[in-house]
Amino acid sequence: MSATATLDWFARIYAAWIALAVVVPLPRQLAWVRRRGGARETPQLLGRWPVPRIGRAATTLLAGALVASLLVVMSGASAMGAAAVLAGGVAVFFFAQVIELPEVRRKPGTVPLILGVAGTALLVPIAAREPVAVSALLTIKVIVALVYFSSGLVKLRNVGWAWGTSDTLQMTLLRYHLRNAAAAPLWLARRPAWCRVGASSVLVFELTFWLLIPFPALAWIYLPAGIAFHAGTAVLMRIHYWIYLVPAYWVFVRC
Amino acid sequence: MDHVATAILVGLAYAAHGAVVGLALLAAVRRRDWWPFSHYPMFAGRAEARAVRFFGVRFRLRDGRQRGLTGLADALADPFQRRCVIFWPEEGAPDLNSARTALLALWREAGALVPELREASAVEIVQRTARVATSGEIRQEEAIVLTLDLAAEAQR
Repeated sequence: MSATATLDWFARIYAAWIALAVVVPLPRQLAWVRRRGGARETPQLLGRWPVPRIGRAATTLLAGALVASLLVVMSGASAMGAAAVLAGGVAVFFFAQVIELPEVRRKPGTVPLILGVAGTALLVPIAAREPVAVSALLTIKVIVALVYFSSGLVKLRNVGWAWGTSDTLQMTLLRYHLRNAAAAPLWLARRPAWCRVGASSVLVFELTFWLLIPFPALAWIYLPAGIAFHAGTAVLMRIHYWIYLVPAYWVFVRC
Repeated sequence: MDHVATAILVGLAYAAHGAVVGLALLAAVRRRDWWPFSHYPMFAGRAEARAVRFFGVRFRLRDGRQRGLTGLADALADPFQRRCVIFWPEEGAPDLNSARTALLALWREAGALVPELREASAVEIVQRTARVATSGEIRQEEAIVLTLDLAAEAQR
Protein backbone atom coordinates (compact mmCIF):
# COMPACT_ATOMS: atom_id res chain seq x y z
CA MET A 1 0.00 0.00 0.00
CA SER A 2 1.36 3.45 -0.90
CA ALA A 3 2.09 6.05 1.77
CA THR A 4 -0.57 8.28 0.22
CA ALA A 5 -3.25 5.61 0.63
CA THR A 6 -2.01 4.71 4.12
CA LEU A 7 -2.13 8.34 5.28
CA ASP A 8 -5.61 8.72 3.84
CA TRP A 9 -6.75 5.58 5.65
CA PHE A 10 -5.09 6.58 8.93
CA ALA A 11 -6.45 10.13 8.82
CA ARG A 12 -10.04 8.97 8.35
CA ILE A 13 -9.94 6.48 11.23
CA TYR A 14 -8.11 8.90 13.53
CA ALA A 15 -10.52 11.75 12.74
CA ALA A 16 -13.59 9.61 13.37
CA TRP A 17 -12.23 8.42 16.74
CA ILE A 18 -11.20 11.89 17.93
CA ALA A 19 -14.57 13.31 16.83
CA LEU A 20 -16.21 10.79 19.18
CA ALA A 21 -13.72 11.62 21.93
CA VAL A 22 -14.67 15.29 21.63
CA VAL A 23 -18.44 14.82 21.34
CA VAL A 24 -19.12 12.20 24.05
CA PRO A 25 -17.82 14.17 27.09
CA LEU A 26 -18.89 17.56 25.67
CA PRO A 27 -22.20 17.90 27.62
CA ARG A 28 -20.40 17.24 30.93
CA GLN A 29 -17.61 19.65 30.01
CA LEU A 30 -20.12 22.36 29.02
CA ALA A 31 -21.91 21.98 32.36
CA TRP A 32 -18.55 22.45 34.08
CA VAL A 33 -17.73 25.58 32.06
CA ARG A 34 -21.21 27.01 32.69
CA ARG A 35 -21.04 26.52 36.46
CA ARG A 36 -17.40 27.39 37.01
CA GLY A 37 -17.06 30.06 34.37
CA GLY A 38 -14.34 28.17 32.52
CA ALA A 39 -10.78 27.31 33.32
CA ARG A 40 -8.96 29.49 35.85
CA GLU A 41 -5.52 28.78 34.45
CA THR A 42 -4.33 29.72 31.01
CA PRO A 43 -2.41 27.14 29.02
CA GLN A 44 0.49 28.71 27.24
CA LEU A 45 1.65 27.49 23.86
CA LEU A 46 5.27 26.37 24.28
CA GLY A 47 5.16 27.95 27.73
CA ARG A 48 5.09 31.39 26.15
CA TRP A 49 1.89 32.40 24.35
CA PRO A 50 -1.36 32.21 26.33
CA VAL A 51 -4.33 30.60 24.58
CA PRO A 52 -7.42 32.85 24.90
CA ARG A 53 -9.89 31.74 27.58
CA ILE A 54 -13.46 32.71 27.06
CA GLY A 55 -15.15 31.05 30.03
CA ARG A 56 -18.51 30.84 28.29
CA ALA A 57 -20.29 27.57 27.66
CA ALA A 58 -21.63 28.79 24.29
CA THR A 59 -18.11 29.50 22.98
CA THR A 60 -16.84 26.17 24.25
CA LEU A 61 -19.81 24.41 22.63
CA LEU A 62 -19.10 26.22 19.37
CA ALA A 63 -15.41 25.27 19.46
CA GLY A 64 -16.15 21.63 20.36
CA ALA A 65 -18.83 21.36 17.67
CA LEU A 66 -16.48 22.94 15.13
CA VAL A 67 -13.67 20.49 15.95
CA ALA A 68 -16.06 17.54 15.73
CA SER A 69 -17.63 18.79 12.47
CA LEU A 70 -14.25 19.34 10.84
CA LEU A 71 -13.16 15.87 11.92
CA VAL A 72 -16.32 14.37 10.46
CA VAL A 73 -15.63 16.22 7.21
CA MET A 74 -12.04 14.98 7.38
CA SER A 75 -13.08 11.37 7.92
CA GLY A 76 -15.56 11.28 5.09
CA ALA A 77 -15.02 13.92 2.43
CA SER A 78 -12.40 15.09 -0.01
CA ALA A 79 -11.33 18.37 1.67
CA MET A 80 -9.40 16.39 4.26
CA GLY A 81 -6.27 18.51 4.41
CA ALA A 82 -7.92 21.86 5.09
CA ALA A 83 -10.34 20.26 7.55
CA ALA A 84 -7.48 18.59 9.44
CA VAL A 85 -5.37 21.75 9.72
CA LEU A 86 -8.38 23.80 10.85
CA ALA A 87 -9.48 21.10 13.30
CA GLY A 88 -5.99 21.04 14.79
CA GLY A 89 -6.01 24.80 15.31
CA VAL A 90 -9.49 24.93 16.81
CA ALA A 91 -8.66 21.90 18.99
CA VAL A 92 -5.91 23.93 20.70
CA PHE A 93 -8.48 26.60 21.58
CA PHE A 94 -11.18 24.08 22.58
CA PHE A 95 -9.01 21.98 24.90
CA ALA A 96 -7.67 25.15 26.53
CA GLN A 97 -11.21 25.97 27.72
CA VAL A 98 -11.48 22.71 29.68
CA ILE A 99 -7.81 22.11 30.48
CA GLU A 100 -8.41 21.90 34.24
CA LEU A 101 -10.59 18.83 33.95
CA PRO A 102 -8.56 15.72 34.86
CA GLU A 103 -9.89 13.94 31.75
CA VAL A 104 -8.30 16.66 29.57
CA ARG A 105 -5.22 17.82 31.51
CA ARG A 106 -2.08 16.92 29.50
CA LYS A 107 -3.95 14.20 27.63
CA PRO A 108 -4.99 15.49 24.19
CA GLY A 109 -1.66 17.20 23.42
CA THR A 110 -0.92 14.88 20.52
CA VAL A 111 -4.27 15.62 18.83
CA PRO A 112 -3.50 19.07 17.32
CA LEU A 113 0.02 17.92 16.44
CA ILE A 114 -1.13 14.82 14.57
CA LEU A 115 -3.97 16.68 12.85
CA GLY A 116 -1.58 19.42 11.77
CA VAL A 117 1.01 16.98 10.44
CA ALA A 118 -1.55 14.87 8.57
CA GLY A 119 -3.37 17.96 7.34
CA THR A 120 -0.34 19.67 5.84
CA ALA A 121 0.45 16.50 3.89
CA LEU A 122 -3.15 16.06 2.76
CA LEU A 123 -3.19 19.62 1.40
CA VAL A 124 -0.57 18.64 -1.18
CA PRO A 125 -2.12 17.59 -4.53
CA ILE A 126 -2.29 13.82 -4.78
CA ALA A 127 0.13 13.65 -7.73
CA ALA A 128 2.92 15.09 -5.58
CA ARG A 129 1.82 13.70 -2.21
CA GLU A 130 3.69 10.39 -1.90
CA PRO A 131 7.00 11.67 -0.41
CA VAL A 132 5.15 14.15 1.82
CA ALA A 133 2.87 11.35 3.04
CA VAL A 134 5.98 9.30 3.94
CA SER A 135 7.24 12.29 5.92
CA ALA A 136 3.86 12.76 7.66
CA LEU A 137 3.58 9.11 8.69
CA LEU A 138 7.12 9.14 10.05
CA THR A 139 6.49 12.39 11.95
CA ILE A 140 3.32 10.98 13.55
CA LYS A 141 5.24 7.88 14.63
CA VAL A 142 7.94 10.07 16.18
CA ILE A 143 5.30 12.12 18.05
CA VAL A 144 3.79 8.98 19.60
CA ALA A 145 7.16 7.41 20.38
CA LEU A 146 8.36 10.61 22.08
CA VAL A 147 5.35 10.68 24.39
CA TYR A 148 6.55 7.42 25.91
CA PHE A 149 10.26 8.08 25.57
CA SER A 150 10.09 11.43 27.41
CA SER A 151 8.26 9.79 30.28
CA GLY A 152 10.84 7.00 30.52
CA LEU A 153 13.66 9.51 30.23
CA VAL A 154 12.44 11.65 33.13
CA LYS A 155 12.30 8.52 35.31
CA LEU A 156 15.88 7.70 34.38
CA ARG A 157 16.98 11.25 35.12
CA ASN A 158 15.18 11.47 38.47
CA VAL A 159 15.78 7.98 39.82
CA GLY A 160 17.81 5.95 37.33
CA TRP A 161 17.25 2.34 36.37
CA ALA A 162 16.35 1.65 40.00
CA TRP A 163 12.91 3.15 39.29
CA GLY A 164 11.95 -0.19 37.82
CA THR A 165 12.87 -2.15 40.93
CA SER A 166 11.84 0.46 43.51
CA ASP A 167 8.61 0.57 45.51
CA THR A 168 7.38 3.62 43.58
CA LEU A 169 4.60 1.79 41.76
CA GLN A 170 3.39 0.12 44.96
CA MET A 171 3.17 3.46 46.77
CA THR A 172 1.53 5.11 43.76
CA LEU A 173 -1.11 2.38 43.71
CA LEU A 174 -1.75 2.94 47.41
CA ARG A 175 -2.20 6.65 46.77
CA TYR A 176 -4.81 5.91 44.10
CA HIS A 177 -6.50 3.43 46.40
CA LEU A 178 -6.84 6.16 49.03
CA ARG A 179 -7.93 8.73 46.45
CA ASN A 180 -10.56 6.66 44.65
CA ALA A 181 -11.51 4.20 47.41
CA ALA A 182 -10.87 1.53 44.78
CA ALA A 183 -10.07 -2.11 45.52
CA ALA A 184 -8.02 -2.98 42.40
CA PRO A 185 -4.95 -0.80 43.19
CA LEU A 186 -4.87 -2.13 46.77
CA TRP A 187 -5.02 -5.70 45.46
CA LEU A 188 -1.95 -5.13 43.29
CA ALA A 189 -0.12 -3.05 45.93
CA ARG A 190 -0.32 -6.08 48.24
CA ARG A 191 1.88 -7.93 45.73
CA PRO A 192 5.18 -5.97 45.76
CA ALA A 193 6.99 -8.43 43.49
CA TRP A 194 4.31 -7.99 40.83
CA CYS A 195 4.59 -4.21 41.27
CA ARG A 196 8.33 -4.36 40.59
CA VAL A 197 7.82 -6.52 37.49
CA GLY A 198 5.15 -4.06 36.32
CA ALA A 199 7.36 -1.03 36.94
CA SER A 200 10.34 -2.58 35.14
CA SER A 201 8.11 -3.50 32.21
CA VAL A 202 6.74 0.05 32.02
CA LEU A 203 10.24 1.51 32.00
CA VAL A 204 11.43 -0.84 29.25
CA PHE A 205 8.25 -0.23 27.25
CA GLU A 206 8.55 3.55 27.44
CA LEU A 207 12.24 3.69 26.60
CA THR A 208 12.08 1.25 23.68
CA PHE A 209 8.73 2.02 22.06
CA TRP A 210 10.59 4.02 19.37
CA LEU A 211 12.05 0.72 18.05
CA LEU A 212 8.71 0.34 16.29
CA ILE A 213 9.85 2.98 13.81
CA PRO A 214 12.87 1.10 12.35
CA PHE A 215 11.35 -2.34 13.08
CA PRO A 216 7.63 -2.20 12.24
CA ALA A 217 7.24 -5.95 12.80
CA LEU A 218 7.58 -5.25 16.54
CA ALA A 219 4.05 -3.84 16.38
CA TRP A 220 2.82 -7.31 17.32
CA ILE A 221 4.57 -6.90 20.67
CA TYR A 222 4.43 -3.17 21.37
CA LEU A 223 0.87 -2.32 20.40
CA PRO A 224 -0.76 -4.99 22.62
CA ALA A 225 1.70 -3.99 25.36
CA GLY A 226 0.68 -0.34 24.95
CA ILE A 227 -3.00 -1.20 25.10
CA ALA A 228 -2.36 -3.30 28.23
CA PHE A 229 -0.40 -0.40 29.75
CA HIS A 230 -3.23 2.07 29.14
CA ALA A 231 -5.86 -0.43 30.28
CA GLY A 232 -3.85 -0.89 33.48
CA THR A 233 -3.64 2.82 34.23
CA ALA A 234 -7.34 3.23 33.40
CA VAL A 235 -8.45 0.42 35.72
CA LEU A 236 -5.96 0.96 38.55
CA MET A 237 -5.63 4.74 38.55
CA ARG A 238 -8.58 5.99 36.49
CA ILE A 239 -6.16 7.77 34.15
CA HIS A 240 -7.52 7.70 30.64
CA TYR A 241 -4.76 8.63 28.24
CA TRP A 242 -5.89 5.86 25.89
CA ILE A 243 -8.78 7.98 24.63
CA TYR A 244 -6.46 10.34 22.74
CA LEU A 245 -3.31 8.25 22.34
CA VAL A 246 -4.42 4.76 21.33
CA PRO A 247 -6.12 5.90 18.06
CA ALA A 248 -2.70 7.12 16.92
CA TYR A 249 -1.53 3.48 17.17
CA TRP A 250 -3.20 2.92 13.81
CA VAL A 251 -0.23 4.63 12.19
CA PHE A 252 1.90 1.63 13.21
CA VAL A 253 -0.57 -0.99 12.07
CA ARG A 254 -0.26 -0.82 8.32
CA CYS A 255 2.74 1.42 7.72
CA MET B 1 1.40 28.23 -11.74
CA ASP B 2 0.08 24.93 -10.39
CA HIS B 3 3.62 23.70 -10.07
CA VAL B 4 4.54 26.73 -7.99
CA ALA B 5 1.52 26.28 -5.70
CA THR B 6 2.32 22.59 -5.29
CA ALA B 7 5.96 23.33 -4.53
CA ILE B 8 4.89 25.86 -1.87
CA LEU B 9 2.49 23.35 -0.27
CA VAL B 10 5.16 20.64 -0.29
CA GLY B 11 7.68 23.02 1.26
CA LEU B 12 5.22 24.13 3.93
CA ALA B 13 4.39 20.50 4.76
CA TYR B 14 8.04 19.53 5.16
CA ALA B 15 8.69 22.65 7.24
CA ALA B 16 5.72 21.85 9.50
CA HIS B 17 6.84 18.22 9.94
CA GLY B 18 10.39 19.30 10.70
CA ALA B 19 9.22 21.92 13.19
CA VAL B 20 6.96 19.43 15.00
CA VAL B 21 9.71 16.81 15.25
CA GLY B 22 12.23 19.41 16.43
CA LEU B 23 9.91 20.86 19.07
CA ALA B 24 8.80 17.39 20.19
CA LEU B 25 12.42 16.30 20.62
CA LEU B 26 13.28 19.46 22.52
CA ALA B 27 10.21 19.06 24.74
CA ALA B 28 11.06 15.41 25.38
CA VAL B 29 14.58 16.06 26.59
CA ARG B 30 14.42 19.57 28.06
CA ARG B 31 10.99 21.25 28.20
CA ARG B 32 8.42 18.76 29.43
CA ASP B 33 6.14 21.65 30.42
CA TRP B 34 5.70 22.86 26.83
CA TRP B 35 2.01 22.58 26.02
CA PRO B 36 0.78 20.86 23.84
CA PHE B 37 3.99 18.81 23.86
CA SER B 38 3.69 18.22 27.61
CA HIS B 39 2.68 14.69 28.40
CA TYR B 40 2.07 12.51 31.36
CA PRO B 41 4.67 12.56 34.14
CA MET B 42 3.82 8.99 35.22
CA PHE B 43 5.22 9.20 38.73
CA ALA B 44 8.76 9.95 37.80
CA GLY B 45 9.96 10.40 41.38
CA ARG B 46 11.05 7.76 43.80
CA ALA B 47 8.87 6.79 46.74
CA GLU B 48 11.25 6.96 49.68
CA ALA B 49 8.67 6.73 52.43
CA ARG B 50 6.81 3.53 53.25
CA ALA B 51 3.60 5.44 53.84
CA VAL B 52 1.33 7.58 51.67
CA ARG B 53 -1.23 10.16 52.73
CA PHE B 54 -4.31 11.40 50.96
CA PHE B 55 -6.48 14.29 52.10
CA GLY B 56 -10.08 13.85 51.11
CA VAL B 57 -12.95 16.28 51.58
CA ARG B 58 -16.27 15.06 52.97
CA PHE B 59 -19.43 17.15 52.95
CA ARG B 60 -22.18 16.29 55.44
CA LEU B 61 -25.54 17.14 53.93
CA ARG B 62 -28.55 18.16 56.03
CA ASP B 63 -30.39 14.92 55.21
CA GLY B 64 -27.54 12.89 56.73
CA ARG B 65 -25.88 11.86 53.47
CA GLN B 66 -22.16 12.37 52.86
CA ARG B 67 -20.54 13.43 49.61
CA GLY B 68 -16.88 13.55 48.63
CA LEU B 69 -15.32 15.47 45.77
CA THR B 70 -13.59 12.58 44.01
CA GLY B 71 -15.71 11.60 41.06
CA LEU B 72 -17.94 14.62 41.61
CA ALA B 73 -15.56 17.53 41.10
CA ASP B 74 -12.14 16.00 40.48
CA ALA B 75 -10.85 19.25 39.02
CA LEU B 76 -11.16 20.75 42.51
CA ALA B 77 -10.21 17.69 44.54
CA ASP B 78 -6.72 17.13 43.19
CA PRO B 79 -5.39 20.70 43.59
CA PHE B 80 -6.92 20.86 47.09
CA GLN B 81 -5.19 17.61 48.06
CA ARG B 82 -1.86 19.13 47.01
CA ARG B 83 -2.53 22.20 49.17
CA CYS B 84 -3.40 20.01 52.14
CA VAL B 85 -0.05 18.25 51.89
CA ILE B 86 1.51 21.69 52.53
CA PHE B 87 -0.95 22.58 55.32
CA TRP B 88 -0.21 19.31 57.13
CA PRO B 89 3.57 18.80 56.85
CA GLU B 90 5.03 15.41 57.73
CA GLU B 91 6.82 17.05 60.64
CA GLY B 92 5.75 20.10 62.61
CA ALA B 93 2.43 21.75 63.37
CA PRO B 94 -0.30 22.04 60.74
CA ASP B 95 -1.30 25.43 59.36
CA LEU B 96 -4.94 25.21 60.44
CA ASN B 97 -5.83 28.85 59.70
CA SER B 98 -4.78 28.56 56.06
CA ALA B 99 -6.47 25.17 55.81
CA ARG B 100 -9.73 26.63 57.17
CA THR B 101 -9.64 29.54 54.69
CA ALA B 102 -8.87 27.20 51.80
CA LEU B 103 -11.65 24.81 52.84
CA LEU B 104 -14.21 27.61 52.90
CA ALA B 105 -13.11 28.77 49.45
CA LEU B 106 -13.35 25.17 48.24
CA TRP B 107 -16.89 24.86 49.62
CA ARG B 108 -17.94 27.95 47.66
CA GLU B 109 -16.34 26.69 44.46
CA ALA B 110 -17.74 23.19 44.92
CA GLY B 111 -21.20 24.64 45.60
CA ALA B 112 -21.09 26.40 42.23
CA LEU B 113 -20.33 23.09 40.51
CA VAL B 114 -22.56 20.79 42.58
CA PRO B 115 -25.52 22.80 43.93
CA GLU B 116 -26.46 20.32 46.67
CA LEU B 117 -23.12 20.99 48.37
CA ARG B 118 -24.25 24.56 49.07
CA GLU B 119 -26.71 23.11 51.55
CA ALA B 120 -24.12 21.03 53.40
CA SER B 121 -24.21 21.44 57.18
CA ALA B 122 -20.54 20.66 57.67
CA VAL B 123 -17.41 19.86 55.74
CA GLU B 124 -14.39 17.97 56.96
CA ILE B 125 -10.93 17.10 55.76
CA VAL B 126 -10.17 13.44 56.18
CA GLN B 127 -6.57 12.28 56.20
CA ARG B 128 -6.25 8.72 54.95
CA THR B 129 -2.94 6.97 55.43
CA ALA B 130 -1.67 3.67 54.07
CA ARG B 131 1.51 2.32 55.62
CA VAL B 132 3.58 -0.65 54.49
CA ALA B 133 4.89 -2.45 57.57
CA THR B 134 8.27 -4.19 57.58
CA SER B 135 6.35 -7.46 57.35
CA GLY B 136 4.88 -6.22 54.06
CA GLU B 137 1.42 -5.89 55.52
CA ILE B 138 -0.48 -2.74 54.49
CA ARG B 139 -2.18 -0.87 57.32
CA GLN B 140 -4.67 1.90 56.75
CA GLU B 141 -5.84 4.70 59.02
CA GLU B 142 -8.37 7.46 58.67
CA ALA B 143 -8.62 10.59 60.78
CA ILE B 144 -10.69 13.77 60.56
CA VAL B 145 -8.15 16.57 60.81
CA LEU B 146 -10.44 19.58 60.35
CA THR B 147 -14.19 20.16 60.58
CA LEU B 148 -16.07 23.31 59.66
CA ASP B 149 -19.63 24.04 60.77
CA LEU B 150 -20.96 25.55 57.56
CA ALA B 151 -24.20 26.79 59.13
CA ALA B 152 -22.15 28.89 61.55
CA GLU B 153 -19.88 30.05 58.74
CA ALA B 154 -22.88 31.08 56.63
CA GLN B 155 -24.16 33.29 59.51
CA ARG B 156 -20.86 35.18 59.80
